[in-house]
Amino acid sequence: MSDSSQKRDFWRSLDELAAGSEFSRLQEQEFPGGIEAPDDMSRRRFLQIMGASAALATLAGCRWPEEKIMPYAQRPEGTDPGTPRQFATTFEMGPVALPVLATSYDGRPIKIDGNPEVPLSGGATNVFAQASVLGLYNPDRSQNILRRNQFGDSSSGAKATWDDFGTFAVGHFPRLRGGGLAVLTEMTTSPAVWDLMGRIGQQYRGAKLYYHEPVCRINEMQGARLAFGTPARSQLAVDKAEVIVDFDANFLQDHASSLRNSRRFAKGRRPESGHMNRLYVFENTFTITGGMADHRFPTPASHIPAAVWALAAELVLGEGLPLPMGAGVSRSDLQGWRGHSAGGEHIAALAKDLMANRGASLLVAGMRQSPETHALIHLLNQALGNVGQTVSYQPFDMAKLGDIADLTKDLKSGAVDTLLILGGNPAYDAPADLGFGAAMQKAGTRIHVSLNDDATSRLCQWHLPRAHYLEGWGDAMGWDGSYLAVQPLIRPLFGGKTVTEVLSVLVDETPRNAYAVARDSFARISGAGKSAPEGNDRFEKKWRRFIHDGVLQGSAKRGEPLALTGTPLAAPRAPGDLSAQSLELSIHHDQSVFDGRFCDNAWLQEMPDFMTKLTWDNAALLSPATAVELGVGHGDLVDLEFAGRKQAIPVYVLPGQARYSVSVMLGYGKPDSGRVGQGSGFNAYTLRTSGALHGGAGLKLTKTGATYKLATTQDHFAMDTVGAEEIQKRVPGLVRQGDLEEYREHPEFVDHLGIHHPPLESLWKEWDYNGYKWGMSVDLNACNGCNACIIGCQAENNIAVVGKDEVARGREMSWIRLDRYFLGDAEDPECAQQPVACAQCELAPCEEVCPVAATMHSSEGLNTMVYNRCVGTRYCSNNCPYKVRRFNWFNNFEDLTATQRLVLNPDVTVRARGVMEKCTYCVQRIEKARVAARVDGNRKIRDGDITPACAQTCPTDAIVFGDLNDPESRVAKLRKVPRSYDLLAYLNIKPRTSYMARIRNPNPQIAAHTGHPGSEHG
Amino acid sequence: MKSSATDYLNNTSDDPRYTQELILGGNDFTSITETVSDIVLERKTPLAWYVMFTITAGLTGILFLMIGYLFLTGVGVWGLNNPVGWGWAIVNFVFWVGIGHAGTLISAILFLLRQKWRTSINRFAEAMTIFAVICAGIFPGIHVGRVWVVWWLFPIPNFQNMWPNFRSPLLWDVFAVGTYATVSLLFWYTGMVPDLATLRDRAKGRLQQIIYGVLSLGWVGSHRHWHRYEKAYLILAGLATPLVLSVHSVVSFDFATAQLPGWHTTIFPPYFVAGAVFSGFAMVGTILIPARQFFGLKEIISLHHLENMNKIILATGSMVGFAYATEFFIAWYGGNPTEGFAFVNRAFGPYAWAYWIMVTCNVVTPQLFWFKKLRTSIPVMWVLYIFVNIGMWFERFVITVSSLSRDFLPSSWAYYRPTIVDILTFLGSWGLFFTLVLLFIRFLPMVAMAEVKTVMPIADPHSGERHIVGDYHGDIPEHVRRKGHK
Repeated sequence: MSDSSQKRDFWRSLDELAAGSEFSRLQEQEFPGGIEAPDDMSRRRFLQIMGASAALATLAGCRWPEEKIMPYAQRPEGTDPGTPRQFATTFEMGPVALPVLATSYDGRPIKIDGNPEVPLSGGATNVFAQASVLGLYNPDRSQNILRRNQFGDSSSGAKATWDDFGTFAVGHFPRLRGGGLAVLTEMTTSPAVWDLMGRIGQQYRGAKLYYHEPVCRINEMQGARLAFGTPARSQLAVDKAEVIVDFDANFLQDHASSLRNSRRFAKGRRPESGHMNRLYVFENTFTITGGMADHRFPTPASHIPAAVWALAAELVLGEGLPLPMGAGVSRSDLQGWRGHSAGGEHIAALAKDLMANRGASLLVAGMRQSPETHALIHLLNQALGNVGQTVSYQPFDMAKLGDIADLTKDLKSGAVDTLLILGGNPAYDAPADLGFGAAMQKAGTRIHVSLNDDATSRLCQWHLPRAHYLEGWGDAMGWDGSYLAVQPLIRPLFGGKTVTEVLSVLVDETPRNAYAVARDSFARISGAGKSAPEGNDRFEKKWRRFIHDGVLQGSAKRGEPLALTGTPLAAPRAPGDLSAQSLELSIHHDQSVFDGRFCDNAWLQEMPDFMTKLTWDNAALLSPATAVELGVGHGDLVDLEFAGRKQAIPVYVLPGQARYSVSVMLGYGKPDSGRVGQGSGFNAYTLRTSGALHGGAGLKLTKTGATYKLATTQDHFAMDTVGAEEIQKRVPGLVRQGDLEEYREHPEFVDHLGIHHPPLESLWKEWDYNGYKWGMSVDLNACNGCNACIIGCQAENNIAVVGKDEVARGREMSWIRLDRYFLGDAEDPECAQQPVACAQCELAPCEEVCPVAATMHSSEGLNTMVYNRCVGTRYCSNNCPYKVRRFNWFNNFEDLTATQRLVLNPDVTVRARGVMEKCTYCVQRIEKARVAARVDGNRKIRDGDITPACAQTCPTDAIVFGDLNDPESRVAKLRKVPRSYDLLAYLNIKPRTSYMARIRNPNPQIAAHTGHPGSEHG
Repeated sequence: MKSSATDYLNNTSDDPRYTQELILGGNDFTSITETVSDIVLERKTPLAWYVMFTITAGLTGILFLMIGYLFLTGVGVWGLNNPVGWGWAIVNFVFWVGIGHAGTLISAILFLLRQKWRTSINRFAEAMTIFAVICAGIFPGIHVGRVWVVWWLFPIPNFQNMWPNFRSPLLWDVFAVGTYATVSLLFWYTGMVPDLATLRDRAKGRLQQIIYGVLSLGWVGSHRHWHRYEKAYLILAGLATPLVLSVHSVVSFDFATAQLPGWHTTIFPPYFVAGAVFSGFAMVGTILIPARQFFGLKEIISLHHLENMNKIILATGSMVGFAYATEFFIAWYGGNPTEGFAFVNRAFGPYAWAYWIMVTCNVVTPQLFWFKKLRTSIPVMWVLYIFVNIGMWFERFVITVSSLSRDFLPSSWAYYRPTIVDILTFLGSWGLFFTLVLLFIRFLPMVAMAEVKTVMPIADPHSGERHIVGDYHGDIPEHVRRKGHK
């Protein structure tokens, strides 16, 4: 802290204002640490403290290296109180680094968006990055350095300081230079971390490095090593592909460059531009990629390797595709696989399609698939001439690390004296058969650097609170090789430190802080020397540019074609037959809590799964026919028994799940979670063993007789026949779809779907819109249902989280939701997705019925909600045909702690109990753009000046917003596209949000065989 | 004719040879006055009254506890959810408003139509109207999210300098129900003034004399008073008559003007009015039967009165049944698939159980009233009244909830379940209603004495024994008086 006298004066006066002992107590601490104010704090006091922390935080957040703090009495250059600023940084999750822009409001980071300057993001983000800002304010994050003597002596541990740890380190680590140090790290791409790790290897003789990542991409790397002799990152040029085959890859969501893939996939699927790819998906559970597929083949996960071999056999033996140079398989190897049942009946048609599109096709395998499968995929891409066209590779050096099984072995042998664990939570998420928690205690000294005082920390003598990524300096490496910056926006709220700072204690004579480590790393990567030069203006300029852009310009590498090495590929074992007695267990990471790290993230917990619409829980996903055969139904609690391990979990019946394949998601049932995650879901790690990380055949499912309440945001109750039939009848008119051929022949086909009605006339004079006329267009052909818009809206508009019970009652608050319908055969359905938010109807039914005129029509056509006029009759919601209005049944913000409130966006009203709310088209952004345009010479707002939060974050640009009065605006043009239609147009409500029908591109050979329900109506 | 002890109470014969009297038992003015006012002034309050009052007051207490809990916590304590924004509170509101219809119908319309039989039951029915409207009025008040600003619904000056939205049917509701409550109260009170004066005159306690004295507004029964009184009563009857039709029409607009399938139907106004009269008569009957039993009013509120009410119930019940059928027909004939589904879903969807309860109670069982034997049987009619009450509550439930729970976009469909707070609040409103009824019975004249007297033969200036019962000269022999006037 600075000792400037002005600063003291400032605080003193604030103290007088606050005039409370609580405030003084807080003041004595480091400020941010004192933010966690008691819940009974008055609003006034809260605001004062918030003001104080904001003042401080801004300074910590700016990119000035001097770590000083100043009052706003001397406003730092370039800052305006109340004006948000954006900083480029990088969100890292395992080995995937995502460049983001973090918005800071008076020093509080409140929102994460994609960094548009970096192609990996292109301005879009996924749900995890967006929700990570909430994790910063998680009041259950560890706030103290904790010391425990040994396991079990004290669950809470004794509080200590960083100085205590420093003292301990000085005494402890030097004697490990002779051996006995083991470091277990979670996966990271940070060159700074790897540099420090490398130096540990140099300085500590016999030191061993291990990694553990429960959601691991190692198979992809090993597959590349098998095929090319080197690990490589696949760079997918999805937009160039005409035919894409996805084997359990979910490349729109789970691939390391999924955002780029999503954008490119959508780009390759715009029927108006003439380019329309075709997607085939083999998968066992319904993913968003499966939802986008033209042909989806529900296949048990354990049958997928066989399906790849069957395809290879069909291509090589059936279609005569020559094997490339250095192929690891021969024609005879493939002999037995042709026509294998795992490939399904359409494999020949698929092979023909691939042959017809050589050089413009793309095969992808998922991270759960074996290295051999990946290698075969590489081989096939090579054979089809796709390498260099739709796929290229970036070889890289991968540090040789032991995995957690190796570490367990070493621990058990007593070789480890001191175990340093960097991040992760292996005591919870290590394979269950290893008994890692028990093995850990063989190490004499155990240190865990972690965001939470979690299960692993509780087994360690030292728990060191880790700085959130928005609190510390660092660096990262993107999937395309680009070098990315990690910079803090706020001083650590709870006194945490980065991993690099802890490592520096071990290897540096004078420990460097994270800033210095990051700068030194930058110096190395940018070629400025081994460490950051002092007083070098050129370097300084480059560094500033780096942290301004968030990326080192020109560091992204181009992919290159790699040659096959000819290493023979072992054929997979022929998959066994699955049955109700021997099911397949398929273990996935979760799309809400990932591997459990977001278990305490309320936004993600309440975000409905894109397919199941399940919130707050995981479940065992079964196909309808499997469920019938097993005699279980939705919400039945069942015991899963796999490899001698047992876990109870409720059943969710998911149409489209592969028969006899039971999918469970990791990351729930976390015993060490904080208040938010407490009691959510069931721990699937208990079924996970090192031999079968992703499950396998041999699962037994038995009914316990108990039931469990699952909270979903759609289909709140089991659908009866009357309702189910009506959905099948109604959905083709709501989520309109057509085939490419149909669209080309009859571009106006959408007009024939849905309810036929006479010309619509209004009873009274309609509104005039002389200025702007805001409108939105949603392209259902681009939307893949990734949920990013939901979290984007949540962060932007202060959407309340209501909890599982309220969701189960149907009281979720999301302003934008994704409607998901299944059409056709329940075992192999089509999936229809549709984002729905307030459509700002011109003849709005809500406005008519409000008795107090709390929802009004603006001159630009918004249905504005006047919160402070609303008395809460809910009549507007009853009369809303889209049911997009949300009511505050309780005071939803009552239970937020002062820390949690820091994430709220000050531009958006926090709604009180008893008022209605709904999408505003981000009216705060409209007004901001209006002010900016007025300041900028009183000009008109230009197309693109306003981007609502949902549109901003959408990786596929499915949502476009603009002025309908401007014929040149993108949205006005999109409305003229023939496949544009209005939802429920026959009600004559004239919605401002229109949709563009989804166009499918089925393979005529297969489509003729199966038909599909989307085009039946009309 | 049979000559059992109770037979003389049966005045339901349609035999044209005999005049059927409305007031039986040879009552004269004095006996009427005594019978009615003694309940208030002289007779010891029966123990049963205290027992019942304890129960109903307890329920009323629960009502206010629930309202307090609601106010402190939020509307979320009820079972409402996103598609179903209106649940039991609105169902109860419409139910109670409907109950309140019989009073005005009996008082005003039957008065204008010179239906003399109304006099025995109109006071009771009007009182019930007032109490039902009180119960009804509670619900829209408490169901809003921010109850502390519910007064913004009224067009009174406020700091926002804004009028309410006159396009909103909820606002029309405020006016319709407000007017109805006001006129009903005035009508009831005006009609009660002569009887209150009677109580004043007969009261022995000082306090009673003062209270009834104040309430009777200085009534002395002069010609001038009677003249003014009858004018005022006639005017109020004229004013109240359109209200009978308008209140429930306006209440039905809450639904009919919305575009929700299942709500958006033009048949609602007449259908709601018929249903309201239907339920109102059933409720009058439900309470009247025990009351006449307990307080010895069988001669004044005779079987003839009850039979007439049953005929009205039969008629309105059939209208309601016809309306149900018409709704279905139009849903099919109109060709709007969403509307078509709303009705199929009502009958066969998740709320089918409620729909068939409604149809059974409202359409099927009232048809039993075609049979004279059943319509003049006290136990049968009482059970059927209860059925109608149940059926009409379910009608409002079916309309409100089943339509909301499944509207346009299947993604937002959801099932609604009430919470314990919903249930206790509704039970509490019954407590309040019966508490008020019990207080009314105890402290006010439950039969309009003055009006009943006007329909008695002796009120006819030309009356004489000759005109009444035949050839007797002088006093009617006791055995004739007791047996009726064969």
